[in-house]
Parts: sequence; C-alpha cells; structure tokens
Amino acid sequence: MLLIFLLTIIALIIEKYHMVVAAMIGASLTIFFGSFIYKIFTPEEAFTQFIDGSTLRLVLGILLLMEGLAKSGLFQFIGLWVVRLVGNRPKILFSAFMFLTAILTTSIPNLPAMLIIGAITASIAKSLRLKLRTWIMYEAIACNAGSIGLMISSIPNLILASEFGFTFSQFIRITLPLSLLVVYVTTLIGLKVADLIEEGEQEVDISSLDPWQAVRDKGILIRSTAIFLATIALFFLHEKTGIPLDVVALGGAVIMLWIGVTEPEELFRSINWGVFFFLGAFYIIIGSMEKTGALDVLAKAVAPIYAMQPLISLSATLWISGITSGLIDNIPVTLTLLPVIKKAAEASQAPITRLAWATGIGANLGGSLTYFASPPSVVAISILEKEDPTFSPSDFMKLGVPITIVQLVVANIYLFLWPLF
Amino acid sequence: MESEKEKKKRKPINFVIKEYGKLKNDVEKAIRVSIKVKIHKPESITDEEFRALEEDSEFKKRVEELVISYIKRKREAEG
Repeated sequence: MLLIFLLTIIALIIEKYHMVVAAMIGASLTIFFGSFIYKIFTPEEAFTQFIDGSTLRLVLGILLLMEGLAKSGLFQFIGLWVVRLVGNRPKILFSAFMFLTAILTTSIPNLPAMLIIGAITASIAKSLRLKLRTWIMYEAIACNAGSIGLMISSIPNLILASEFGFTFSQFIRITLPLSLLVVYVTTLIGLKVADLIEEGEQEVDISSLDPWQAVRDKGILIRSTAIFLATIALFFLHEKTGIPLDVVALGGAVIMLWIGVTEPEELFRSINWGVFFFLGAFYIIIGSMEKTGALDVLAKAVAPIYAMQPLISLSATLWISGITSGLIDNIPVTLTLLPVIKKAAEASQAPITRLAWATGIGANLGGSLTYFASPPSVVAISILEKEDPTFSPSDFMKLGVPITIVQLVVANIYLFLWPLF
Repeated sequence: MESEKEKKKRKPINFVIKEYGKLKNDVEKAIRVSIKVKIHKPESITDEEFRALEEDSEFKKRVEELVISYIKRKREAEG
C-alpha cells in the first residue's frame, strides 16, 4: 500500500497523467491488491468506510453555492465600483485590488475569483496604463493568500473543518487575520518594488463607467447574495444549532439552484467534478494505508520531527506543507499530511491542532511557489500568455518563490505568537 | 523558457481562457459601451485583406467616424 501511495505521489509530481487519473489508478491498484490479492479489506469497506462522505458533501455544497455567487455578477460589480471610486491612482488601486482579490477568494472558488479579477484588471489596464503582468501575478498570489481566510475558502480548509471539527468562527479568529496580514505584507512588497504602470497616455475616461452594466440580472444578484449570506450565518451558528456543516452547505446549494441562478445546467457545467473523483480515490489510498499500518510506517519516519521542540515541529509542518504544495496539488498534500501528523503527534504528544492549522496554512500559501501549483497561478499564466506576448511562465516563479518564502516566514511567526490555539 | 512538452501539460486548463474572454467582454461593456456587428466578406477582396481589418486601427477610426455621421443624419431625419 505504501508503494502504491508513493507511486501515486510520483505520478502527481511528474504530471505524466492528469491528477484525477493518477489518483484513480492508485485507488484501483489499492482495491485490487488490498481486496483480491491480500484480502485485507473488502471493496465495500473501501468505498463506504475509507471515503469520508461528509467532506465530499461539504465540498459539493460549497462549490455549488460559491459558483452560483460567482455567476451573479456581484464581484464584477464591486470591482468596477472600486475602479470608479479610486480612479487613476495606481498605488491605491493596486492595494484595493490586492485586498479585493483576497476577499473574493474567501467567498468564491479561487479559479473563478482569479478569472473575475483578471478580467477586470485586463479591461482597465490599457485605459489606466497599468502594467498588466505585475498586477495579474500579484493578484494570483493574493488569491492563494486569501484561500487561508475562511472555512469555505479552499478544499484543504474544508478537509480541516471536516477532519478536526474546526468551526467557522475558529477560522475567522485564527486564519482570517493571518490571510489579511499576508496580503498586507505582499501588497507592501508590490508597492515598494514592482513596476505598476506603463509609459503612455490614458486612453479612456473611467469616471463615467457604470458598474451595473456588468450585472446581467439584478434580481439574481440579490437572491444569490442573500442565499450565500444566510448559509454563512448558519455555518457561524453551527455549534448552537447542531446542524451538520454538510447539511447546511447542501441545503444552501439546493436553494441556490432553486431560486439563485437562472440556469442550473450552467452552474453544473462550471463545477470541477474531477475534484470529487480525486478526493474519493485519495481517501481510498489513505484509508488502506491506515488499515494496513503503512501510515504508521510513515508516521514513524517523521516522528523525530515531532519529538523535538513544539516550535520546531510546527515550523517543519508549515514549510513541508508549503513546499510540497508548490510541487503538487494541495489536496493530496493535506490528505496525506493530516493523518501522518495525527499519528506522529499522538506518539510524541505534540500539539495536534496547531500542527493541523500549520498544514492547512502551508498548503494554501504553497500555491504561489510555482506557476502550476494552484488554479489562480495557472489562470494568471493563461491570461498573461494571451495578453502579453513577451511573458514567460518562469517570470511568475521569479516573483512567486521569494514572495512565498516571505509569506511562509510571516505565517511561521504568526503561528508562534498567536495565543488563541 | 518553457518547453512545448510543458506547455502541453497545462493545456487542459486553457478552457478557462474562453470563460475569461466572456467575463472580459462583460466588463469592457461596462467601461465603454461597444457593439458587435457581423460583416460578410465582399467578393472583390481576399480573405487575408478582410481579416486584417479586425486589427487595423485606421479602419476602426473610420468606422467610428461613420457611426457618428450616420447617427447624426438619423437624428436630423427624425427631427
């Protein structure tokens, strides 16, 4: 089982196959050897006990809700309203867009978030002489930093909430301030060192732009925003009401499909269904490792780290999670690290919850390390290749690597100091 | 520089460019109102000559002037 796991991880790193295909081949081999050759578990056990159904339901509900909100035009409206308000003051606009991007990513999936902010930036770039390359790359990095923010902001966060029972309000207290702090530091770096504007004349007067023009249907915008906010409120009250998170998310998604969008088909088309196959397949691989004791072998290998000072184990977890998430998708990183840390920390009595937070934070920040590590980075590269013929993806890494290191240092200090864990 | 093999690896995500184009179009409409008009190629010119007009700034300027004079005449005619 350990060998199948390692081969799957290698396949994910070298990207020979699509990540979902690699995980599904790994899961198939796991079931073949585990059920039919060694007879350690049955296929039914693998499908019903290894796969965490509540996480899958939570992810499904959240993705449907967020995609519905993304399609409402709310964020195009807010973005253009900010442009009209700030006008031709590039430094203020840059700061506003960095925080807008982060806030956007806390509320909708990071792929449409980057598409929306990228489209707004590219549309105003010529008019305001903005250096598109700089803006788009920084926005992708802000997107990844924003993913730390709330429970619903990324799949690693949803896995944390589901596996460790972290609540919505805990995310607001612990990770949201860090997300804003990281974006603040990144914005300061951008303002200090980046070229924000191009030479030339301003082409279009943007003071007359009408943000409502970007909204197709005001009624849908109002309804989908109300459904989204009501669901968030129920997440907040989850401890008091006792309604499971996946039930709240799916309930909100049903109402969104019922009255929040015009075309449910359009919403279904925009969902990344591959993520469910990936999660299911990876849960089978990890579940089989748990069952066969392979996870104990991995945990023993990393145990010396957790026997050290808690601060060293905390830093090691954050950086391992961050760097590996720069090389492969952050979902397998989170799914693998969490059970390994759990076992290793149990043996050494290291603070498991702080290590879990460090895993999630590293997994989100690591997305800016390389241009292929996260959806916002890939979207940024695609936009720049279309709009800027001289752009090369390596330009992204020249910015992404140093900024991710700074962000991980900031997160590391924050994790040392934050008293609320 | 990125190799062709590496570019191919990123290809599946390129569908996002279509979505990006739609979003950008919506946003540009809010910044500056625009319309799309379909014009078929006249018989007497080549495909290349005709397609090149899409990127011809002089042509776009002439079309803008035509729009202004056409609307002016229309307004006058309607009184």
